[in-house]
Amino acid sequence: MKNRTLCSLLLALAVAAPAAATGAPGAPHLRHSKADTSLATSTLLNKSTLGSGWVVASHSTSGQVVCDNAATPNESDLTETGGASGPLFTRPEQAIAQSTHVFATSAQAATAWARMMPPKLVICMEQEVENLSAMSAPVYVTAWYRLRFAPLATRVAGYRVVARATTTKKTKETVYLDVLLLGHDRTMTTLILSALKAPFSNGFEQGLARTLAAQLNKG
Amino acid sequence: MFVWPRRPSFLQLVGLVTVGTALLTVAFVQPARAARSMSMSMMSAAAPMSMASGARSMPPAGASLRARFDYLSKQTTNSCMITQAALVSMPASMRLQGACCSAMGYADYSRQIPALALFNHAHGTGNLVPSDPYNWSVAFVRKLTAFNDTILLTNAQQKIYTTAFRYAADKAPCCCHCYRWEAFEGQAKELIARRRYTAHEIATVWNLENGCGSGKMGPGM
Repeated sequence: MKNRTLCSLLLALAVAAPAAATGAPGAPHLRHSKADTSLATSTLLNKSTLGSGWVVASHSTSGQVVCDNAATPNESDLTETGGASGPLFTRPEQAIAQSTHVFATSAQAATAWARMMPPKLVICMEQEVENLSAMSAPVYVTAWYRLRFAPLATRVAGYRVVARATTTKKTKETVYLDVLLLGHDRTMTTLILSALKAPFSNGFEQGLARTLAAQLNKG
Repeated sequence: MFVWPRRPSFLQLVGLVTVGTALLTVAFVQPARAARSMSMSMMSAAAPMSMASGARSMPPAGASLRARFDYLSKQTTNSCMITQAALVSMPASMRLQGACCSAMGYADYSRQIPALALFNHAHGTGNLVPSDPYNWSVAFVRKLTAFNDTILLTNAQQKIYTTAFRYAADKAPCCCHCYRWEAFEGQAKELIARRRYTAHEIATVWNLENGCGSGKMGPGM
């Protein structure tokens, strides 16, 4: 129980940090329209989709994290016309977040997709996980691999980074960070799943991918 | 699109992973070595001082190994508290000197320096392995760290990297997860991906370039 409280505290600390700068170098031009923002919002998962046991965290969804610029794709030549982020869903030792972005054209969405594919995406995922390290409690990546999905949407991809985290009590825990991406026409949605000790099941992630694909294809 | 750092939900991701590592993070005991490390404000102050007094930032020219040791063992710019952001803001020519974690020992130092010279000569790694881990430049550290941004190991290569932990004296690239760890991680990626180094060879390099000092301060692993 104590651990759960501590988890919540740290989660709150992590997401309550200052919002990221949208005008950061390499960021796409933002020209959000009402219609495309609605389109992005319509693709977001809700609690009922996830099934039982999930709760919506009450934390702010803004935050700040550092991914080395070299690992961040340059999208400054692209225009984003809509965007939406879902809430943070949690259950013991697992959490899910989602965001969707709509680009000005299908070609731009395809370009953005191509630029984020490995190695950049996985390198960035690795950096994010390893950035959780503390001085005497390192977190280091042990493996990464591609998650397999049926061709549910125009573009589907998934990656998992596995890391080992060490405690001062000499125990080790395994951390899993999964990223699922689906793209259709001008829209691209990203699902981020993190888990401690055991990864998300393939069936659960396939189900989420099917749901997202259906929502994307509807839009 | 993937939610990169500037995107709120990617920011959440760290929170998510933090959930996973929270159990670990809260149990962290601040290493005793941190007590002798410079604070970041001290580091900031050290940079211009180092630049202004270039002669004082280097051991005496032509100094004996003992004299180099005597000089370096009193230096404190090789702090494990240096962040990546601080590294970026430091002058490239600045030297990071001294031990990062515990006091330097002459017996170890006098073995390390010739061994590193031999290793670099035999392997042609002078551009990747420091000749003196207690006296290296910010530029050199940046070069090694930058490999992390561009090299994605395959799973077979990743296995070599993580297996090297087992063979390393500190059971890790460095005795604590600091800027040196990240530099040696990048270095290992380069050596594994481009030079086909084995886990034993990586561990050998890590052991040779240990800059933690000679005290007993394991990484808690």
